[in-house]
Amino acid sequence: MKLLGFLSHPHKPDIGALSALVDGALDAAAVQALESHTSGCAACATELDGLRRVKAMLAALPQVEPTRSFRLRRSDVEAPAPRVSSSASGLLRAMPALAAVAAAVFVGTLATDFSTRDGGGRQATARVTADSAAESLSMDDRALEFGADQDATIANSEAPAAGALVGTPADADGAAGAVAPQPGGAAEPPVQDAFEGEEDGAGVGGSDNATRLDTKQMDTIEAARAQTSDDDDGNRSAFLAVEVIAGVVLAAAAAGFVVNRRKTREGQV
Amino acid sequence: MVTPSRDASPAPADDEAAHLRRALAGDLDAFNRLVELHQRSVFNLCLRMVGTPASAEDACQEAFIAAFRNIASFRGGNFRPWLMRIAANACTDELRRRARRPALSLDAPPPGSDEPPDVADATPGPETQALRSEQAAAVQAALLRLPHDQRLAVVMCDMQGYAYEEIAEATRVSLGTVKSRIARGREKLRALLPAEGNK
Repeated sequence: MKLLGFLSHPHKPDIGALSALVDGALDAAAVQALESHTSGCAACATELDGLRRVKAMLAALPQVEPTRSFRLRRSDVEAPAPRVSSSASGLLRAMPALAAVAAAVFVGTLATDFSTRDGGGRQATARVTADSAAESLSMDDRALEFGADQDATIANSEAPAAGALVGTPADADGAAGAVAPQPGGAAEPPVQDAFEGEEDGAGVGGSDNATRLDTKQMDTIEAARAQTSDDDDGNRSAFLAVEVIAGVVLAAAAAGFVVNRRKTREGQV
Repeated sequence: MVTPSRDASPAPADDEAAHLRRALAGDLDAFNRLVELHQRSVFNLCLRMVGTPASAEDACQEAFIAAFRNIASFRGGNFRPWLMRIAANACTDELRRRARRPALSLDAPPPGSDEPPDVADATPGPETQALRSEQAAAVQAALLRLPHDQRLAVVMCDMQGYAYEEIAEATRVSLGTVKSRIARGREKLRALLPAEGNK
């Protein structure tokens, strides 16, 4: 009878129940019912056997004696930053770095803004470049195209870079260094070279270059001049916005720093 | 048939309670007494959760530091499940740290390198030991392929002999969830490990 019953009702083992049986986590009645079932059900018997073997395998793994003591020293618990910490205290820990970044951005944009107002900055240089390009014999096509695009490029690279800096204190060291010199860095040299090239030798480059300044290129120069004056206001607003943000972040960082110091003092045993 | 708890070495409950009381008041020496009582089991939990002795030592150390720092959050009840919870979290952190270091992988290292040393066992011959070592490495590798929750439940139950109730307390889930995690974990290990040589 039992055998026939087994054949006509193939059984899907209840793994949870069988597993609990292995661990002795079932009450007496459940144990009895399950054991009597398993004795007549091949599927469940196989499953039960498999679970027992896995448990035995795990139990057979050696208990390892640690080779060091884990007793804590005073320095272990009085160090400033726990590694298993919440994200809030992580932000507090980042505050000094954040403040340094915000300060760099603040100073960088101030410096840039001043140089812009003076007219000795990139816009003025671009204008001079555009003018000199029209007359210059050494000004080549590459520098000309660069001059036309240069303000757009610089304006685009300043604002997002600053924004990215504020949001990623982890990159503070590398990026902070990049912001301040950038106005005088990558953007500048080609323009300067072209300008200086014009001064050095009128003959450099020769008449070939002069004949290549056709009407199309004159239009480009005019467009560059127009764009630089339009960009002035745009750039100034962008700088102002960045300065305000940097100032706010500085203030927040200062506040956070004070709070953190207070917390650290309270936390000491 | 309940497997006797391998972890239930008779740590005198009175002593532990006294140490705990003083540790709760910030007494580092008292806390270190608790460290001495529990470090072996915490270390072994960490070892099985992260796979290598070096990582296990880091996780174990972090666990005890976190436990002392957060001792104020211990609201009574059993100390050991509370401590194991902190250890499990430290293991998760250690695995994440390891994942960020490109040179190391999450999987257990190839057998022979950085292997957990076997417990000194005088009787078996070298062949048996080698076999055990190989099997232990295979089981450890399979363990690391379980989801964290299942691995923790299976390790606490089968290796450390915790009852379902203690595991539920340590992991803050229901008994039913504990049962299910253990069952699924074992099933997965069955699929990952070859049948022969396991008897």
